[in-house]
Amino acid sequence: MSFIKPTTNSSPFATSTSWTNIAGASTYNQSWISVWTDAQNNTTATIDSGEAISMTSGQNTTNVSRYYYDNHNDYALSGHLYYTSGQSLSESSDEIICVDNAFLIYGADQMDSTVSRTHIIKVEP
Amino acid sequence: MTYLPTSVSNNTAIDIDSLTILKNSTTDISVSAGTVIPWGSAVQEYGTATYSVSSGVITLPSGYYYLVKSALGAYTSLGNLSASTISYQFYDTGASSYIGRRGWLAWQEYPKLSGGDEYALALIDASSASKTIDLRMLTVSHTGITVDSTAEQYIYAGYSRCEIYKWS
Repeated sequence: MSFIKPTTNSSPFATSTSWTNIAGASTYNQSWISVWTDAQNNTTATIDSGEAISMTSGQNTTNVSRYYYDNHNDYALSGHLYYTSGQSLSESSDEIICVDNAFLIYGADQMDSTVSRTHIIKVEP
Repeated sequence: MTYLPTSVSNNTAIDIDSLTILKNSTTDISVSAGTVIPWGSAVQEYGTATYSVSSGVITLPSGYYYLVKSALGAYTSLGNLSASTISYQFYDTGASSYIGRRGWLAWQEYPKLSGGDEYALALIDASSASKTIDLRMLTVSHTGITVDSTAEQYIYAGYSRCEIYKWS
């Protein structure tokens, strides 16, 4: 049994990538993905074909907030961005998740780029 | 170690058939040790799959392998903010035993002697026979903690989910 499928370049990591909010992409193999930041400091990524699982986990620099991917805004798909001195009586996972071909994050305008990350793992060619 | 030959050109890393996310069917659940989360409707994020759920018990059909991950959303009162923790784990109702690694939620990421992250997870081999599992609370630090609360500040967090990855 294996959870990993053969790839064209012998490394499972070659088909995953990550970015930090605002700072832009940090990636091993970026040929199949584009990443940018818009005027609202939201980060968007698109892939060249197929679909991918995207998982973002983060923390805010100030204030607490619920955040989520565009078109995947169900509370069950949302995450909780806390900050270290904040007070929040409701808590949840700080990770959001979706499967799509484009990934725009809402509610993360104060995301701390030094401790936040996204994994995008392609699941469909 | 997994050997990855170069002959396949599909450019995918994970060979999953589907990703289904189950939502909690109920809000404002007052939890204690042993409480089973009553999963309900599904969000189908990738592929197609249908799971039977009864009183929180999920039936995983035979012929597949599954990775199940679950993170909860919960609320505590202000007086207990710095002392609130919960943990939860998947339970094999056929074998009557806990499976996988527990998840953990601590308010304000408050430092504790034992921690972890919010995801309970388990890898399940149902290739030859179906499995029945649920997610139940292991520990609840005190009374007054509610899962998927609609009370104060709920808009700042997500709700509970159970991610089911299926592959053959």
